[in-house]
Amino acid sequence: MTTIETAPPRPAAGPLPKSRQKMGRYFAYGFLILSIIPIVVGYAWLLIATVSFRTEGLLPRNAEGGIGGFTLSNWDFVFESAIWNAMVNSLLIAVFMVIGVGLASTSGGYALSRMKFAGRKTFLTGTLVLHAFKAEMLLIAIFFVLRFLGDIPIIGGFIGFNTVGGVALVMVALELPLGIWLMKGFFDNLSWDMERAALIDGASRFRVWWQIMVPQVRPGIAALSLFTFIVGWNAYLVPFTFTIGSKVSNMPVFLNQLISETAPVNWNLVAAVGLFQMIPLIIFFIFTQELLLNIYAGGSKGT
Amino acid sequence: MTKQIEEEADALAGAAVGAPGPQRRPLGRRVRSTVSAYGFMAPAVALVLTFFVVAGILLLILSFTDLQSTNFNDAWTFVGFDNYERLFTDAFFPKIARNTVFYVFTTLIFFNLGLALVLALVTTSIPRRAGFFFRLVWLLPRLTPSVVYIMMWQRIASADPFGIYNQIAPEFLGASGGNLYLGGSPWTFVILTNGFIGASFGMIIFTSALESIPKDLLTAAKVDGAGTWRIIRDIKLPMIKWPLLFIATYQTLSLLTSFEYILLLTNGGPGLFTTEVWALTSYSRAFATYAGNNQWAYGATWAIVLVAIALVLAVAYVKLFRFNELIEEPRIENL
Amino acid sequence: MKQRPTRFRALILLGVVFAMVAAACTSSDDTADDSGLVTITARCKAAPNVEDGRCNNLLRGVVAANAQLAADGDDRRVEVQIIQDNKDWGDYLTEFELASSAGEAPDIIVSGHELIGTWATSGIITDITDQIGDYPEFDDMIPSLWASAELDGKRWGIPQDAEARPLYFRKDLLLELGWTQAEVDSLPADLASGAFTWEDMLDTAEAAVAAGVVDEGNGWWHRPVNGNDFLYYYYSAGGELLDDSGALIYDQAAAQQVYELVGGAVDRGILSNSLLGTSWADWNSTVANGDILFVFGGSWQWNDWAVNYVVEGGEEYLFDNLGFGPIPALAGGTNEPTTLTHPLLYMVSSDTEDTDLALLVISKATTKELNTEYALASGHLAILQSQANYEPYTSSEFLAEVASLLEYTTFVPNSPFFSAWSEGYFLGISAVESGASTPADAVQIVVDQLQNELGENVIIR
Repeated sequence: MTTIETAPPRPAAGPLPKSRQKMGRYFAYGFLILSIIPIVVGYAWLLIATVSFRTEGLLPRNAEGGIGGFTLSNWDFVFESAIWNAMVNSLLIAVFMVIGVGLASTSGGYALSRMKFAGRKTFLTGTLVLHAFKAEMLLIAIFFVLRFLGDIPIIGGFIGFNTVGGVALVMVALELPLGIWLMKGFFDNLSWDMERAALIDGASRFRVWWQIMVPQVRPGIAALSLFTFIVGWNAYLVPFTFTIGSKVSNMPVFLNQLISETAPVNWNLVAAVGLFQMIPLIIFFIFTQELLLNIYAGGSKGT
Repeated sequence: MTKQIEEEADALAGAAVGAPGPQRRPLGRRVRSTVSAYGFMAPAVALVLTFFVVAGILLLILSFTDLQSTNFNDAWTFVGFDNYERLFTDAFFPKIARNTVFYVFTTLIFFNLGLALVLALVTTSIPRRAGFFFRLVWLLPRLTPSVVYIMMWQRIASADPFGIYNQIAPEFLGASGGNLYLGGSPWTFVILTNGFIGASFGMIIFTSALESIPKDLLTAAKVDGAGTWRIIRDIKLPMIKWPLLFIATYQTLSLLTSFEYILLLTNGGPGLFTTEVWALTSYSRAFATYAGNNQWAYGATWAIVLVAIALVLAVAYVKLFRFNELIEEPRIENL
Repeated sequence: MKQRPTRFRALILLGVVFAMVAAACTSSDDTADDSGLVTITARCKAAPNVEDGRCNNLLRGVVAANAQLAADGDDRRVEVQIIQDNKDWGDYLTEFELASSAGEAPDIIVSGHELIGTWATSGIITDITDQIGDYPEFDDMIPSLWASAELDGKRWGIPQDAEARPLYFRKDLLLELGWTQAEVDSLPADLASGAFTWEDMLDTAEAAVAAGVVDEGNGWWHRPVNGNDFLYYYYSAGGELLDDSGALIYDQAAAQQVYELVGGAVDRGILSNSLLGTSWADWNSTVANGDILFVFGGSWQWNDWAVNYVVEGGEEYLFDNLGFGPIPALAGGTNEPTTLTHPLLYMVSSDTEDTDLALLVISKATTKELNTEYALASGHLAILQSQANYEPYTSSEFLAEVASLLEYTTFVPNSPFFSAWSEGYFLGISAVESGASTPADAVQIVVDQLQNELGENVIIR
């Protein structure tokens, strides 16, 4: 492991003076505040735009050109059912993805971390490089695969082209490279003790995994779940290339319906819907802050 | 070390059989352990095989055909290396390649890796709640629908009277009144928009890695009088070596294949491919340029070349940073 | 710790159940059942609320269609199922292509007419030339629109809507510049007769900038991103496009004239060098509120401006301050006013077994009543001759006047290569306007690009 280089001999070794610590703090806060200025400005504008008729820079303008022109009409969509339907669909897709990716990554990550088997190294390098295959490029190949899967008797009707099942499988698959690497990293950090004890007691690998290891990587699962949830929530390309019409009509679809080249587009409305789309994600983050930010802490280190 | 753990595990798993010591692994136990491993890998392998490996091979085959919308329902015609020739003889190929290298490494070093690390280090050195707040703000771009996010940046960099920067920044800081992301400095804004999204990924990962460093190590160093910089250099950085390398590799690949924000902001312009990058070209040539007559085979060609480059880069990273160690021997505590 | 696995398990179960239920809800359509009821599926892309008529009119034509069948003594009856949304254009087109390949294509599909080039070639739409005559409603179609539905002498679709791309000019700014009211009022007529040319427009714009009536770069604007508009510049300069062999022509002289036009406008301070790439929101806002003297725009923008951008006064403000007419004649080119129309067509998939029923439903949707309702709601133009005398349509002052542009309209060719050609051609415009290249160099760059992209499918003249 690492060793700490001891400081050269000093007459009176001791912690740094408080004043230096304080200066360090000020510097830290100063730097951070500076760094978030563009973000704060940008989102401030977004908020203002959603409650005004038009804006110039950061200022909402009214008919006379003065400051004003506030309107809540851009937020009327919350009173109609369409957005809530879209939200439910988004939620279903996101939850499904979390479960699917979570399961496959947690079991695969465990094996890659703890077990020896042929093809392990290839698979690891492979999944890292696979990240370079963007979904847009894979589309046509996946179409042929789905079309082929659709011809399989019995289950073909659920996983072929233009099926919800097919779309679900593809979306989970595309997230696996990241999920597997993350979970493997988590398992790598766990100590061997409990596993060994359980195996000595005669437990099967599966039981060891399910009842002992998985609970210990809860922070990792939660973290992966959050990243996957975001992807599922904002998913657009895959669901809509492989279905006819808006079969899987979620929030990004709702947002996209508002944008057109030949019909009037109310960009302030687009901004409002976009903000609305973010709100559940923000709430999610606030509630899981502890879990998310410990993405690399192994369970035995104490969360 | 891993070998020993695994052998011990195998031994324990097969303990009932009364096997000899870890040195010799009878065939039965080896088979059982492999089967068990494959069982765990099954869902992941099945999905990755079907939708990545098979798809990848299909793409490779497609790149040697001339498949497009106009002949989509006909049998595939093989055209040898025609697509590749077309790709490499594009007049702007060198410029796009240069742009891509510039874009990937600048954004990586300044944002996706650099700023991510700095943010993680700084936000973990202040009280927890405060740190969380700043990290949350930095996460916002990643949560925003891309159309809305770019709309925001366009509004920041627009000309008078719409542009925010022109409205609130003083003139000596570049607020000329004109369009800043088209007439001013397109690259600045391309890198900013992508960087603000990219930084949050590394920031999260590094933060957690930093927060899992045992507190006693840090306290001991402070008691000894080690300054902030020394602690960072000697304790923190070495302990997050693995996430550092992972982020470097992963984000390089991400940047190499990302184009959506550039498409929305400048679409590779202004003028003659000023901010055009490889991934954007591949997307445009294959799909956008042909609205309706999708160039499936040509698009596949670009994808294959890109993946080949990614493979070379990944191997380079592995060799350069001895990443190999981390694939071979997972970090497990000393027993 | 015991709780976690149970909750986990419950979640998994929920996910699986959801997947099964959702999958089970996907039903495939049968096109006919024993009672003679035939289901026709129609797929449309439409901006919600305003353009819904695209597919909804098909639904509304069902009653008339069934009445027709009864009158003809036909035992069959139709019902129509529509799938309509505002999917991204590229995704929408790809969807049809993939669905056709998987045997799940809808019977009727709405699309821009240029897709005929691709879809007819790949065989996924039906040649309906011989059947159009069976439906009297189609005789009412404005004749110039049929050209958009033709390829190789055959017809592949029925026009569903039309628009045009006028020149908009600011009456108030012209008056400020010193024009008389009479001159302003006669401008549309002068444009139509060719008396007011493109060069005249540029000169006026330059004078306006010099006089301070408009800011520099705000004398003349066109659209901020690539689009079909730029094609009429090429046509105006005398450029030919579609060759008999099916290849596209790039006339270097015509292209160079276009590049010199736009490059010259930038040099003279009339056109901004960073207009291309501006966001639509800012573009619309600036134009609608009177800062630009001349704008090459689209007929659909009028309504957008009135509703979303004009700060005060809505459509009245537009009528008071904005005039419109055809695109001016280009001396040294065709010397005639022009515009461009991009109609959407109803097309029939080649998968369908009931082409005649599909056409019947389309014909019942192509009536002056239904089409006018749609046109008014969405800001499109009349497609039927009878609409010129139809009161509800003529009551919309703007739409009625702008429809006269259809006389000299042009179209994008029905070629699978057009979009690639357009990207190459636009590269030249973008390079010259941004100052990255001279017009002559731009032509050479474009020639290289087109030859690389299209190979033998482009003819360089």
